[in-house]
Order: sequence, then structure tokens, then C-alpha cells
Amino acid sequence: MTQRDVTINVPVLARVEGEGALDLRIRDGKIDELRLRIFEPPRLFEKFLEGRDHGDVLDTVARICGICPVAYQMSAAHAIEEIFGNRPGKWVREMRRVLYCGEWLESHALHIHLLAAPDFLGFPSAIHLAGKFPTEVKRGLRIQALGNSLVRLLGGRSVHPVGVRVGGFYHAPSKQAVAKVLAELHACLPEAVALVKWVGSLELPDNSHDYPYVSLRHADEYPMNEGNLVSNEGLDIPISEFEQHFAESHAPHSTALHCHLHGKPYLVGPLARVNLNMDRLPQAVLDALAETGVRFPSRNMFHSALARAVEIHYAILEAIRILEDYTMPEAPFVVATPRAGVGYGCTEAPRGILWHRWEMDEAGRVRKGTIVPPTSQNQARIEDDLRFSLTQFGLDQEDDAIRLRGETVIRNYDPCISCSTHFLKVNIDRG
Amino acid sequence: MTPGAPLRVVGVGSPFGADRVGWELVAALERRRPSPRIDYLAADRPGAALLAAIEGAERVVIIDAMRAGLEPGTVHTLDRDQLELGGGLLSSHGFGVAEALDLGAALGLLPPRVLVVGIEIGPPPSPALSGERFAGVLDEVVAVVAAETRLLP
Repeated sequence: MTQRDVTINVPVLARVEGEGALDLRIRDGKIDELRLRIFEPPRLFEKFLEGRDHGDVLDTVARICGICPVAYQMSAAHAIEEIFGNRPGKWVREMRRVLYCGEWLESHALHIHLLAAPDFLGFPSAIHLAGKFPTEVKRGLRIQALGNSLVRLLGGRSVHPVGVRVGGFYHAPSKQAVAKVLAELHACLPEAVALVKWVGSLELPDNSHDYPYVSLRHADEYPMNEGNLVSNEGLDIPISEFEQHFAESHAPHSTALHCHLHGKPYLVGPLARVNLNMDRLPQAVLDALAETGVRFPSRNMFHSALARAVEIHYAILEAIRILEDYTMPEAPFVVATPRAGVGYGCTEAPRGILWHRWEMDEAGRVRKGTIVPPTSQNQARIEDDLRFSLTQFGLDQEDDAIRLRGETVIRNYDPCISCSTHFLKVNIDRG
Repeated sequence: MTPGAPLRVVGVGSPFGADRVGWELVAALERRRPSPRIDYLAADRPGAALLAAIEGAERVVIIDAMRAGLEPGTVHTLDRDQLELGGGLLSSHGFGVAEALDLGAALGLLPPRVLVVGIEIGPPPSPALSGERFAGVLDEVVAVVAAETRLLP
């Protein structure tokens, strides 16, 4: 077997400020160096909000991510409401679950059809996939549009449609608007079941290995906005104790931020959620999953696409459950009285737990904010996964094949990125 | 927005600096050229949702910031197939205007005419276009929209 020295550098051009890269060096048949920098945490947003009124927080954090504005608003709202002792009540609580259903539908549909399906059906892009599987891709776009309808139900028609405020929502949708969306949900339900079957039938690599994974867990429901933090290694803590168990640090010789749980990289996201909360899924969802023959809990990261399809099915059923009993509230929000304090919010963004800590002064202005996004938390795990998976794949494979497998591994995580992405560019260091 | 108008003008952007120029132009256009024949929309990093945003229109003008190495403030109109794709995606966040339009074409979902108007914002840090430069860009874009309107049946 010829042992090659390979250096793979991934320069990434930026649509906005930011940078990202994957550096891979192989020496003597082993990975000598692997460094991933694809995400910069939103430190500028945290700094920007210091000294500002709490009313600016939700509008500002919604702009951090184009795909997950709801997640950022949910984590921040819960933290601020905790500080102010604000209890929005059952209507707000349920409608916030509807809102999250919408965001999961949008994000998961995008992932499955733009990233996972092209990979696992052997197409270089979703555009190529659409040429051969137009029915399936159009179905994905319909699911995404349905998610958008749910988000807009609770928002407005502005460029940023999310209508969340501290204490609840700016407005309550009318019964007619809810009835229209309910009809769309019912129409889409068979498509969600078909999607689970389709994704479950795809031929996938198997890179199962041991690693910790973390999600929320709630006493009664599949987790979205509330619960304790749990793991497959016995963790079970309130979200306020996050910093006692999880630590952020800069990776050596890199600007990348790594998070560790008790010193180890860990996974967050749909695979972790499904693995840790199977008993919170409705029977119909479990039945559809069972028919695929794929068993959960799974440590095969390539099953994350199926976990997303399962959550699409769940989100449609959950939104139907809540909206079928919809009544107009007396008011869509409960007025909050600002006071000083520290509060925590941790909610399940499409990509995993998004943890916030906010500190307010007595006038309700921000003293300090800390935001730990899911992609920050996954960055160390992605590196470990790449190390394992590329070694398993075979470091003596052609450079292009190594590059493609590396891209596929990264795509499983669907990382939030600070910038546009490109092909991995392969620079071969022949020494 | 007038639902169902034959010409749809979509400003695509993000909240970051000069990348807002698509939104700012659409807002200025709507003030300058309100019309029952034109829908004006702003979209924040719409990705594949751009296809839903342009569905049903006869003609579409998409306005977006671009980096093409030109003088900042240059207005460059392009047909869809002149856009450069970003290459392999590592994340669904990378699915931009070019990718969305290509996907729409592959699925037969595009309106009959889609024109892309790129506004050069220069290399990072790309300060926002303002003052006279913005006014000049707006005049050029107004002319593009007027030309598209004249071509409506």
C-alpha cells in the first residue's frame, strides 16, 4: 500500500465577514493534523446588546441566523422571562411549540433535500437530484413552505416574520388563519410519512462509534423549549448548571471554539434528540420509523437525515394537535416588569440545543449575554468524526474521494456557517 | 404588497452591512414607483424559499449585493445562467440565489422571465452604500424596473 502525504486546505470565501477552513494533513498513513474552522460564535451580537433595552434582544438575536431565527428568539425569551418572573401562560407556551414546529419543518426539509439526498443518491447537488427526482424535491419544497406558513401564522409580513416578544407574541392569529394552516398540515401529513419511508430506504454508510450526545428532556413531551439537559452518559441537569459541566475553549493553534462535556466533544441535534426521547414520540411516528427497519438509538451519524424526517412527521402531528383546539386568547402576551437578575434559556434549535444566559440591570437593560449555538457545540465533535470516518474510509483512497467523504461527514451536521461555502480545495503536498 | 401582480421585485439580503442593499433598494423603489402591477418584497437569506417568493409572477427582478471585483456601486444586470454557483455545499446555509434559481429551473418552477440585478459592494469589510452613491444606484435600478414594466402585456 502506497502511503501518501496529503495536505487538504479548504479556503472559504465569505459572503459577509467571517472565515472558515478545513486543514487536513496525512503523514505515514495517519491523520497528522485536522483542524476545522467553519463557524464563528455570535460574539458581536452579544457585545452589541450590552447596555441595550431588553426589548431589543429578541429582534436582534433573530438576525443571527437566516434559517433559525425562532430558535434564537425562544432561548432569549425564556431567559429574560425567567429574570423578570414573567409567566406567559398556556396559550403562549403551546403557540411557541407551533412556532418551533414551523422552524423544524423548514430547516429539516432543506437539509434532507439539499444535502442528504444528493449525497446518499450519488448526485453532486440538489439541482442534479431534482433532474431525476423532481417529485421528491418538490415535496421537500412543499414541506419547507408549510413550515414557513406556520412561522408566518404567528408573525407578520415583514422581511423578519417572527412575531415573538417577551411575554408572548405581538398578535394572535385569527381562527380563520389557523383553519387555513390546519388544512395545509393535514394535506401534508401523508407526504411526511412518505418522506420517512423514502429517507429510511436510502443506502447509507455506517460510521457508528462511541461519543456522548446531549439534548433536552421533558417530563411529558418531545423537547422543544423546556426540560433538563440529559446525555447518554448519565447527565441530567437543569439548564442553569450548563457552565458547571460544559466548557468552551479555543482549540490549540486555531481561532475555532470548542465545547466539551466533562472534557469530551459531544453531539447535539436531531439524532441526539431522537435517541434520548424515543418514548416521547407518538405511536404513529414510531410506527413509520419502525417500518424503515432502521433502529434507534443509533450512533451512525448518517442516520441524522432519518432523524430529521422523523421530526418532520412529529412536527406536523404536534402542530395539528395544538391547532385543532385553537381558541383566541384574551391577550397574546403577558406584560413583563423588568428587574435585575440572571436567567437561562435552552431550547432545541433544528441543529441542537441553543443555550443562552442573560443578565439584566434593574431597568431591564442588558448587562451581559452569552449565546452558545449548536454548531459551536458540534465543532469539536465534527473534528473527531472526521478523524474517525476518514480513517475508516481509508486514507489511501484518492484525494477527491477523501474530500467528498469529508464533505459528506460535515454535511450530516448541517453546520450554521458564517460564510458561503465552496468545494473543498485539495492541495496535494508531495513533499 | 399587491398579491398576484405580474412583476415582482425581490430584494435579497442579510442584516450585515452592505448586504442590506437589496432591502434598502426595494424599500426605496416602492416609495418611488408604487404600482398595482408591481409586488415589492424583501427576503432575508431566503435560500430555497426564494422559489416560493417568486412563484406566480410573470416577470421577476431580483436585487442582491454581489462581489464581482467591480467598482462599489456598479449595477450589473444578469440573466440566471450567468450567475456563478457557489460549488459544493457544506451546509444548507450556503444555498444562495444562484442555487435557488438553478433548482427552480431544474423543476420547471421559474417564472417566464427572471432578471438578476447585482449591486457591487466591494471586498470585505464592504461599507454600506450611502449618499450619492446609493442615489445613483437607485436611479439605475429604477430604470431597470421601468423597462421591465414596459414589457408587461
